[in-house]
Amino acid sequence: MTDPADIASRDSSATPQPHGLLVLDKPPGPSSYDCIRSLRRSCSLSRKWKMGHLGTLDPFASGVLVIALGRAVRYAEYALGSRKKYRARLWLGEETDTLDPTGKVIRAAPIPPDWTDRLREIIPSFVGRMEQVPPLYSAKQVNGRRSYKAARRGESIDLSPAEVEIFSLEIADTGENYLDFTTEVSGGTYIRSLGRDIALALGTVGHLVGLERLAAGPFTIGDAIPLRAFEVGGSHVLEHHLHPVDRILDHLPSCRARDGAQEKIAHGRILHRDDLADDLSCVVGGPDAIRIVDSEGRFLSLGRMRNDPAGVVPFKQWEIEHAS
Amino acid sequence: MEEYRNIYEWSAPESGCAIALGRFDGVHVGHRTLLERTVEHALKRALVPVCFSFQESTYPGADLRGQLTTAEEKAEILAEIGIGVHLHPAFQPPLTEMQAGEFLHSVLVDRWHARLIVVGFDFRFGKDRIGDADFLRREGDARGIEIEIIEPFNINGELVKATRIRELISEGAIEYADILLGRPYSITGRPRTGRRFGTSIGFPTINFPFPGLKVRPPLGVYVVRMIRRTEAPSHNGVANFGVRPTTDPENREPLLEVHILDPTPRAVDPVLPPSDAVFKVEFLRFLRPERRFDSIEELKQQIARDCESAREFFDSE
Repeated sequence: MTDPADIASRDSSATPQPHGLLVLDKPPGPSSYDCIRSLRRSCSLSRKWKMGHLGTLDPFASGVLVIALGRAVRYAEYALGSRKKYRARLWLGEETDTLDPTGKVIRAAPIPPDWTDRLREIIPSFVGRMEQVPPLYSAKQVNGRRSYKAARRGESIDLSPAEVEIFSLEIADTGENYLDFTTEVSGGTYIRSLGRDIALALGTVGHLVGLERLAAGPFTIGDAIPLRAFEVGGSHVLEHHLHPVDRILDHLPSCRARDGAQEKIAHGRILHRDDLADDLSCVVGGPDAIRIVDSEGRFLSLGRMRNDPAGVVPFKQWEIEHAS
Repeated sequence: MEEYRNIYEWSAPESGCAIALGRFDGVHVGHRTLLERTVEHALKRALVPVCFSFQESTYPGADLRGQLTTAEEKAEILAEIGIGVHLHPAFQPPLTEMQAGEFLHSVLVDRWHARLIVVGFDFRFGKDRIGDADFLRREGDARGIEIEIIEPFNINGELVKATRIRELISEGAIEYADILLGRPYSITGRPRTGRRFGTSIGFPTINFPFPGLKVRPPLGVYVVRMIRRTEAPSHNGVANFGVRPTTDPENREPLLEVHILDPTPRAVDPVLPPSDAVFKVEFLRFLRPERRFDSIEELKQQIARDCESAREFFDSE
């Protein structure tokens, strides 16, 4: 496994620059980007240092927010599609423009008295693959919220639905005019849209008033460190809780490289059969990317399969540098 | 753009026009689609692009405090879209007493040489509102006039309508209303010298009386943008729309007091703007309702918080 504290530092007096993944427990209130800024400050990470999140959480939401640091940022795209698990509270009777408690009420509707019975009936229809209309204001459109050009295209904007998959949906609790549910969904699924659609299916309108992300890919709330801990402990906390980037790449098939192949890997030159300890046939016809690891299983690089000549082309190398 | 309140003053060119018919209060995104289509057709076929709408305040049952756009504001937007002639009569006879067929044949076709007529799917016209889009299509086809009927324009699952936008503005859902409008809801006017109270507590303001005809948002504090008509740069601000219960409880006329955030040296002098300057103030977000404060100190603290909220809004853009 890659050493989580793998650090490239030329000057011992500078703040060590970390590479890896951090699992944050985001509090409700700040945006995901605010959390990154806060981390930069509390851990004294210079502005030059790359940081990014692997799937945003709305400001009103809390829970698992995975942050990539340094070289790990380049692998973010492999995590964005991963499954997420949430717990949410859906408030019935009023819909806000943001579909969350930060917005203004734009619609109200009476709540049918038998809604809890209807709930049992409609839940199964929300499990599986479906098209989902994104919220009017989504994280992608921070500017879109005030961008009138979108509304002024010469066509109606019912925002184009996206294909999502809902793996499970369970009702955890119901109150007089709210319901709590947990759900496991594919990457790109909007829980705010799910809430809106459940309320509509019940014959009323609604919006989320609470949202907690319980898991993102392999990371769960149990792995998550509250933002406050970083504000208090700074970079010490960071060093001890950095995860290797492997955790988000584990789903890719792997192929071991022989020790002598490191030079080729570093230069992105195609690896042939004798550079590899594993038989290529195990990954032939596979996905776009595979993981190239060393004899001890440490992550070295991603690789792309080539047929003619048969081999693996390394890309997005981790570039491990050893202190000595 | 030429505007005619007396439609008899306009002689349509023989070469013909493309004419959009409607009420167009607010000129929201649905209206814009229709008008842009009219201009597009007109340009392609060398026709004059014309818009016909009755003056909003002359409609029977018109809410004289409920307009989304003043006549001047509507004219400015139409001109910007590319309309060449705006026929803008008052809602009164003889036009309003004409049968639909008579209006189509003797006015639209014979007098105005309409070659293309563009209307919304729910358009009604003529005495007793008997004429509709289907009627236009049938009659138009018979005379070789092209009729284009614009389909409903939906945003967020609802039909964009002026009444809905008015409702949203009255309730303070400004951002959502702005999306349906297709631009920020705004007022236009000249500032009025105030009592300099704002200046005395450290928050100088430029004050605008609220135009009587327009829909009022709730009294309270807003994130705004102020634009001086002849200059490009706009100024971010926070504004109080209200009757000043803390400092001037006798006053009943609502005033929009705009405080510019972080003015640059070249920004408009907030205390003494030129008296002939016309400004547009755009409403961007409703922060909080107006309230009375027990002390000037409390008022100052809240204003400082409002300024922070407004800055956050602009930072996130």
